[in-house]
Amino acid sequence: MGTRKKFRKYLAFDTWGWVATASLLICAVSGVLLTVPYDVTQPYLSVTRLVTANPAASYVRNLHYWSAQLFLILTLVHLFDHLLKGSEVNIRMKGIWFRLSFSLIFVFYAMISGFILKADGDSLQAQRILDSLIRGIPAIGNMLADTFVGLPGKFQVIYIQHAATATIIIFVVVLEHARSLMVNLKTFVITTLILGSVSLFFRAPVNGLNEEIMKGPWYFVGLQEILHWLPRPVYASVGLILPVVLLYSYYHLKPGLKQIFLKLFFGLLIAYALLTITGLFFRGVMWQWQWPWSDDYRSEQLMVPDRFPISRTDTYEMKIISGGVEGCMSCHGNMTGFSDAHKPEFIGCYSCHGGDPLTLNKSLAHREMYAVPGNLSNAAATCGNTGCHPAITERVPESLMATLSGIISVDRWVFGQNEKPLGLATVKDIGSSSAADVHLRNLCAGCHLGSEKLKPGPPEWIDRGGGCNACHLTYDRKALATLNSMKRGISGNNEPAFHPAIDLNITNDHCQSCHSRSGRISMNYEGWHETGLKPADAKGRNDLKILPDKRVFSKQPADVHHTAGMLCIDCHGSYELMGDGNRYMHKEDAVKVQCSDCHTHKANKQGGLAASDQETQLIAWLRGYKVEGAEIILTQKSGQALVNTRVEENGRILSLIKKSGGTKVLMKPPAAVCSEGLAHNRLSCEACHTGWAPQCIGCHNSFEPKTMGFDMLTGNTVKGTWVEYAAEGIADLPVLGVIESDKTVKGGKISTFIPGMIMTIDKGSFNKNDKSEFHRLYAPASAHTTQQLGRSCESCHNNPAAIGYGRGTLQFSKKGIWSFDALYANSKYDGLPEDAWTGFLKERKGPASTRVDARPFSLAEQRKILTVGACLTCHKGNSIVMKNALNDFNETSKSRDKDCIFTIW
Amino acid sequence: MNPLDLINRRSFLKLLILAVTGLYYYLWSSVTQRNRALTAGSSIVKIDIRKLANGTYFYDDFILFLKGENAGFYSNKCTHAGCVINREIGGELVCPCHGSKFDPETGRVLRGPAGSPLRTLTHYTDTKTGKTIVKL
Ligand code: FES
Repeated sequence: MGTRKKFRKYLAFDTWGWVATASLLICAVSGVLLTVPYDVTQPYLSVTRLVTANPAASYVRNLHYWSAQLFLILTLVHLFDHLLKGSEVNIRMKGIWFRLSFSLIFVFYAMISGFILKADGDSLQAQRILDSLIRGIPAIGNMLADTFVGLPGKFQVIYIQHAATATIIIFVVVLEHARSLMVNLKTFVITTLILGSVSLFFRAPVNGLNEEIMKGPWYFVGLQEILHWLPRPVYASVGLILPVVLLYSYYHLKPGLKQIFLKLFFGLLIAYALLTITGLFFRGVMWQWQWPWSDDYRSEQLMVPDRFPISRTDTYEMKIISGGVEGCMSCHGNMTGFSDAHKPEFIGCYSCHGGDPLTLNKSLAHREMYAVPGNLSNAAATCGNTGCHPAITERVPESLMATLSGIISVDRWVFGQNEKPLGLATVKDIGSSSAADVHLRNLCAGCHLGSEKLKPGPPEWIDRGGGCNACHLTYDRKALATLNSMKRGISGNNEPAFHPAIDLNITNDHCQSCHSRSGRISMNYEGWHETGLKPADAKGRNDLKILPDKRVFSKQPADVHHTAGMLCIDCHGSYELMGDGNRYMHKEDAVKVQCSDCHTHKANKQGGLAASDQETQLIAWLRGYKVEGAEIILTQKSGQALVNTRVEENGRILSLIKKSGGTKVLMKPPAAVCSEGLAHNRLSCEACHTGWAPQCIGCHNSFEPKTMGFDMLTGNTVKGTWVEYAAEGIADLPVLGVIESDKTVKGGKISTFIPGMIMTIDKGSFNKNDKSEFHRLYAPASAHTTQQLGRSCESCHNNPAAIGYGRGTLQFSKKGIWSFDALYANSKYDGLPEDAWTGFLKERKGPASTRVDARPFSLAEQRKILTVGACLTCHKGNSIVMKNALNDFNETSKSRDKDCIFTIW
Repeated sequence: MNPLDLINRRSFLKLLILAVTGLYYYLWSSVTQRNRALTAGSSIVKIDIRKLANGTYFYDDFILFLKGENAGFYSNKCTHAGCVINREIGGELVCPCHGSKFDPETGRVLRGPAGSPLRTLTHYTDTKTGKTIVKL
C-alpha cells in the first residue's frame, strides 16, 4: 500500500457519523462536569471565574465547546455523505427520517443556547436576536420563545432546555438512527485525543460584556449577515426551517429531482460560506466594513488557555470587575495613584491595558497587552471603549495635532509636490518615496499625537507621543519612582504599586514635549529661548535651562498669562486640543479661542454652563465647578464653551478660574489705547502685545545618502537622511504682515510673522534631475509671549525688521527721503537681505508666506507706515499730536509746523 | 346504539391523539401566556435630567437624548431584531448586531435593516421632586 493510501486509511479510522457520535458523548460528559462550576444565577461571573481560576474546569469547558463544534460539523458532513451516496434510502422508516431532519433544529438550538449560556456581551445580544426570531413565528412564536429562550438576561429556561430537552432529543434521535451509542473504542480514543489536544491549545471563546463588535457563533455569522439585509427577521426564521423541510421532503423525491435538490443544497451552502467569510473577516467595530488585516478585535487574541494541569492558583483572591472576574486584579489590585474615575476597582486593568484578563498566568496575562493604552493605534479599543470615551477617540485622529495637515501640505508645497500650501493630507498619507515625504519622515513627522510611545513614561521630547497619554498621563513622585525601579528591573517579586494618574492635570510640560520645537510656543510662553549653547555651558546658571534632549534655553520675558499662573489649557479647551470632529488645514483654523473672547468690555458671546455639551459639563464636574447658574464665555469663532470662564453683571465682569490652583481672577478689558482712533483697527492684539518671537534666518536642507538618520514614522534608523543646517535663532520682536483671509476688517488683519522658511533645499541631492530651490517664506505665528504693554510706535513705524525689510538702519533724511541700510548681506538667490521678507519700498511678487492668504506689506501700506514713522522721528509716540494723528492723520497733518518734514515718495 | 359503532377504531384513535395534542397545546399556551402576564409588570425609572448636559445618554434600558429643553426617551431595543443599542458614532445611534442606524434626536431609522423608529418611552416630570419618570 502506498504511503498516501496508508495515511488516508489511517485518517479514515471510522465513519463521520461515528466520530460525530463520539464527539457527542464527550460533549455530554464534559457538560455534566460543567454543571458544577456553572452558576445560572451569575452566569458570566461563574464562566469568567472558572476560566480564570479553575484550570481543570476551563479545560472541560474547552472540551465541551470543541466537541460540540466537531459534532455539528461532522453531523452535517455525515448528512451530506448520505445525500451524496444516496444512502438515505437505507433509512427504512419515514418516521426516522422525519425525526432526523427535524432534530437538526435541536442540534442548532443546543449550539446557540450553549453560546448564549456563556453570558458575555455577544451572548446577551444573541439571546435577544433568538428571542425576536422565534417570537416572530406566527401563532406559536410567543410560546416557543417563552419556552426555549426565556426572559432576556435570564438563563434558567435556556439552561434547562440546553442541558436536558435538546440533549435528550439529540440522544434519542442518534440512538434511533445508529441503533447504539457504543462507539468503537479506537474511534472514541482518537476523538478524545484530538479534542483533548485542541482544548489544550485553544480556549472556548468568552468575551467582555461590553465589546464593540458583536459577532454570533461562526455557524450563525452568515445568518447575521443575511439579517443585515432583512428588514423583517421573521423571514429568516422561516428561512431557517426551510432547509429542514426540504431535507425531509428530499427523502420522498424521485432520483432526477434529487440531483437538482442536491445541487441547490450545495449552491446554498457555498453562498452561506461566503456570507460567513464576509461576516467573520470583513465586519469591524459597530458593523463597519474593514479589511481582515486591519482587524484589531482584541478578543480574538484570547484564544490561548492556561495549559492543563497548571500551577497552583488557590492563593489568589478573585476580584470582580463589571460583572466578571478579572485575573489581572489578583496581582495588581493594590495599585494606587489613579484619579477616581480610573480606579481599578471600577474599571479593572483590562479595559485600558488589554492582555488576557482570564488567566492567573503572568506571561499569558501580559500577552498582547497595551503598555501605552493611549496610543492612537489602539485608543479606540482602550480609552474609546463603549461606555468610556468613544466619541473622543473618534475625534482625536481628525484633530490637527494628530493629522499634521498643515506641516505636510506646506512641506510638500516647498518641495514642489503640491501646487499650493493647502490640503488635508494626514500623517497616514505620508509616503516613502518622494523627496518631501522622506523629508517629513526624517525631520518633521515625529510630533503628532499618533506617534507611538513604545515605552511607559512621561512624555518628553525624546520620547513623545502616546495619543491620549501624551496629555492625560500625570506622573507624580511615587509613580516616577516606581517607573524608575521598573526600568532598572528591581521590582522584584512585588508588583508595581503606583500608577501615574489619568486625569485633567495637563501641565505645560505635557505640551512642551512637542511644542518645544518649530514655533517653540511652549518654551516662549514660559520665557525660554533656544540657544546654540551646550549643556556644559549651562552649569550653575539660573538663566539657562537644559531640556532632557540637551538643548539649552536662555531666559526671556515670559508671557503675562504664564506669569499670572495660567496654563496652556486655561485658554485651549478640549474641542481645540482633541479636535471638534472637523479636519483643519492649519493651526489658525483649528484654534477657536482669541484674545478678544476674554479681553473685552462686554462678553461678545456667552451661555449657561448648564446648557453646554456633555463633555464640557463632565470637565466642569471633574474640576469641581458649580454648574447651575454659571454663565461662561463662548468663543466668537465657533461658540465653543470656555469652561473655566465666568460672566457676571450682564457680561461686564469676566473672570477666569485658573485650572491650576482654582483661584478666580478678573480678566481685564483692553486698554483705551487699543481702540483709540481708526488708524490701528486692522491690528491684531498680538501685533502689539507679542514681546518676542524666536526667529531663525537661513537654513539649508540637503539629503545625505550615507548619513544615518531616523524615520520618525516607523521609529527605525535609516541610511540616507535629510539633514537640516540651521543658523542660531534670534529672540526678537516679530515681523508684521497681513492675513488677507481675516475678513473682520477691510484689507485683512495685520498680525505677527516669523521667518518660516528662508532656506535652500538641495533637491538634487535626493534626485539627480532636480534643481536646488530657494524659498523666502514667512509664517504667521502666535509667539505666545504676550506682554502687558504693547510695543512702542517706533518699534513698528521706524523699525525695518517690523516692516519686513530685515534688520538694519532705517534713516529719514532732512529732505524727506527714507533710506535703508541692511545688516545682512543680500542673498545670491533673490537679491534681498538674508532676513528680509520684502524689499525696501518694493512690492513682493509671488508666494511670500506659508499661507496662501498671507503677505508682507504692500508698497502702499509701507508708505503709510513710514509716513507716520517720519513724524515719529521727532514726535514722541505718546505726544498729543501723535494721539490726534491716530484719530485723523490728514486733519492733524494740516496743522503741522513749518519745520515738519514730510516724506517725499 | 353503541356510539363506538359510529366511528371505527382508527379514527377514534386519531381523534384521541388530536384531543390530547389539543390539550397539551392548550396547557402550553396557557402556561406561557399566564406566566408572561405574571412576570411582565411595567417598571419605571426616575432620573434627574435637570443637571445633565446636552447629548445622548445610554442607560441600561433606554436612551436619553437631550437638546436644550427637549428630552427624548427611547427604548434601547433595536426595532430590527432586538439588540441593545449602546453606542453613538458620528451623531448616529448604531446597532452593533446588523448595523441599523437611528437618529438620536427623533429615533427615526437612518439606515436599515431596521424598518421602524425606536420606541418612544412615555415620561413625565414629577412635580414634587422635579425628577423625570420614565415608563419602560
Ligand atoms: S438588531 Fe439592530 S440591526 Fe439587527
